[in-house]
Amino acid sequence: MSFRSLAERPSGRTSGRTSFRSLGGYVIYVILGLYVFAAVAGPYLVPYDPVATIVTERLLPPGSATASGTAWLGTDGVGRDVFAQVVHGARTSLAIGLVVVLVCSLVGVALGAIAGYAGGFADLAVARTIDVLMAFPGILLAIVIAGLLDRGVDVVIIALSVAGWIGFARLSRSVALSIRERDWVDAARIMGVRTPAVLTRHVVPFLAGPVVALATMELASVVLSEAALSFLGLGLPPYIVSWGQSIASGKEYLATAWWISAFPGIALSVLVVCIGLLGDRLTKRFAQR
Amino acid sequence: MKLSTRRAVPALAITLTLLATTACGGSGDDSPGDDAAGGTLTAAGPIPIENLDPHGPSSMDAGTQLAARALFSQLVISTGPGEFTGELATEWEPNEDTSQWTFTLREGVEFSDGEPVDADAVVASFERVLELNGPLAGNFVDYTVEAPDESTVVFDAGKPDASFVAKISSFFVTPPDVSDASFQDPVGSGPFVVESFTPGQELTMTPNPTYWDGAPALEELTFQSIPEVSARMTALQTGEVDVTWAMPDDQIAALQGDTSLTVETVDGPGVVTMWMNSGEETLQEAAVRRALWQAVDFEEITTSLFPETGTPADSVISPVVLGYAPQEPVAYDPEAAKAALEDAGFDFDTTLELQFSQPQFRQFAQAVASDLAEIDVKVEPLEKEQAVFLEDLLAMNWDINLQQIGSQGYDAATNLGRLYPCAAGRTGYCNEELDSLLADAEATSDTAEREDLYAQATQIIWEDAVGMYPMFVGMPYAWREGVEGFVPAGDSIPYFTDVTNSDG
Repeated sequence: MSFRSLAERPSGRTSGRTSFRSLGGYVIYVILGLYVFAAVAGPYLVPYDPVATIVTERLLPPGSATASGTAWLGTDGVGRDVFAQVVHGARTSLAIGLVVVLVCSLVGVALGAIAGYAGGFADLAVARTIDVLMAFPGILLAIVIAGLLDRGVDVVIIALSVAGWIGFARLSRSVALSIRERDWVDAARIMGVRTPAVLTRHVVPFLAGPVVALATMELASVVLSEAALSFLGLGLPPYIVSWGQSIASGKEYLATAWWISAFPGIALSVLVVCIGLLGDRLTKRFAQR
Repeated sequence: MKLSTRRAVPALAITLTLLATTACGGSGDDSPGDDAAGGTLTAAGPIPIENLDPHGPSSMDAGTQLAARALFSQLVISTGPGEFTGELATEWEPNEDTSQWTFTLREGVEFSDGEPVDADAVVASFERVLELNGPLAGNFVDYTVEAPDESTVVFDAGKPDASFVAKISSFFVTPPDVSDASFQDPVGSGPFVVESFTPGQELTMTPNPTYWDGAPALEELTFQSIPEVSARMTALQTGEVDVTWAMPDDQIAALQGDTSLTVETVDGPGVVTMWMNSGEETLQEAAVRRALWQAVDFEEITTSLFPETGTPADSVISPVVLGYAPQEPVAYDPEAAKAALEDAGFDFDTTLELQFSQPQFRQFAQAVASDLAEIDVKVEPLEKEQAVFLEDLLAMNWDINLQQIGSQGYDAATNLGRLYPCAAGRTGYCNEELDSLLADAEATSDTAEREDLYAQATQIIWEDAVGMYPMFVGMPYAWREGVEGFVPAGDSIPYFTDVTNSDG
């Protein structure tokens, strides 16, 4: 009896864990789906003008009635709806995140693959550049760049991309280094296929998996960095909604009107955690090791 | 719940300290019994004290002025519009055209090192102000000073200057032989002397036993800097700080609910002033500037954002300032404003930059931009770092500007007379009639006549809308029970000479 139960327990546990894990997977996809929906369709469903203020309706707690309906998540210090800020902020965060990751992955993969495949001077140049950039913390570099230039979407994208491509370049370089020794690459070379074609047809496709996994992780950190820059007042201009700015604007009201900072903060943390979990799953699937 | 637990710990600490003090008082007799009643007091103002030199570059800095009022003596103290009491001076007289002012000094006043405070010290201090050419020196261009005898000082402006007494009220007397290095542990003739000083953090002072008006009762006075507003409020509620001022309106309600605190707002000389750069093509017409002013519902903004400290303004200078003259308020009327802008051919495509540096005006600026957006005028609030803001302000590198302007010494001369003449070049606005009114006001010592001239000047500035003047700013103070004799000062620089603290 006891034997059986002991023997059965591990299998029972494993199956429980598997179902929990797949359930967890679903939850992640559902949550991320909600964010994407909010980012794509939200602004059409929840109108919001970051310039318009209604000072008579400031600092209302969640659920208060306002002239334009109900403020489900309350209003901020100048009477703007916090729910609308969360929805519109999702678009800003995801849009900037995707653009930065796209730029970083294109630059990183291109440089990394060329360096890894070609070796020699190209490899040396790219590897040393990576070393130099890695000496600075990425966010510090971003703060310096964003601080020197005027506030704007383009500046934020540049500031976050400057250090963001390093990860992609290192990954692509190491994968390319091992792939160029593979037989099919040798075969292509011997058959006289030109170098650019070898790179694009026979090396880069093998980068897709790990790069997608890395891109997901990178997306989470870019979303976080963008919020940090905006929080510090270095990121997006005031007429673009961003979670970082919303959180910063509620800083002085933490004791009296917690909802201004709390809801954008929760939205940001949940998004970053979910992207991170998704990234873990993808890494596990595509990991070469 | 949270608050009461937070308060319990310091309360316990205070009780223990009190017990310890009584115990010491019982056993030892090293302190004179009567003075011990004063207690110790910690005050935290909004601006850190970076420097104790009241003559140099930081001479007009609120932090330095606060410390100077405790450590040094002024010739006169300004107590209200056109009202002064003598500190080092007992009498002061202008000559006929107010170009020369004679001050008679109090007898027997000594510095804390025993040297006498005589006419030579005053002359040396005044000359040091001129030599260092800091912000204070801007009030005394081309002045000369001399000491005919030990207790008489004569200031000669070379031209009429009726508001000299108001200007000299920010001037402090130090020993004649000071250098920059003397101000880490300065010698002064004020009610307190420095015990220790860490720039930007903490200034601890003890009473000056040789103060001419009798040493203050406080045993120790500390000015602390707590930059974060919420931390400053918590420090006040826990008893770490006994007095604070210039709290944001949103924090005042929470403090008012605390029975161990007294919260009081006093009228100050500050006016929220939003100059519109008349030197720019888009804003050079008075009709355009007036229309922009008309388009913003300042009454609603003021009562919503500054319910405790703000009152809608009806003049360029505050009611507590000499020369105040109420004007017809500009009524909120967006339709009329839009029509007026269209008539004047206003370019609705330009974006006007609304520059400011003080964070308490962030929401104010956003609300103004919002109201102007309603009539399709694009305004972009731009918060700048203080130093950059000042540089751009002086370089006229702005469209609309938002700042709080006070009137030093409660006299219109230091506001209207200083900022609005063509020669000042501060607003982009130039009007010869206004210039001559302001010059005449400087040239007469008759107060009624000066008030009349400033009223006329105010009317021109108001009607031509050199700026928008939305709000008078009151100064809120809060202090803990146990603090006695504290008098809130409208100019946000209080004195602590007669304060005691039975809890500290």
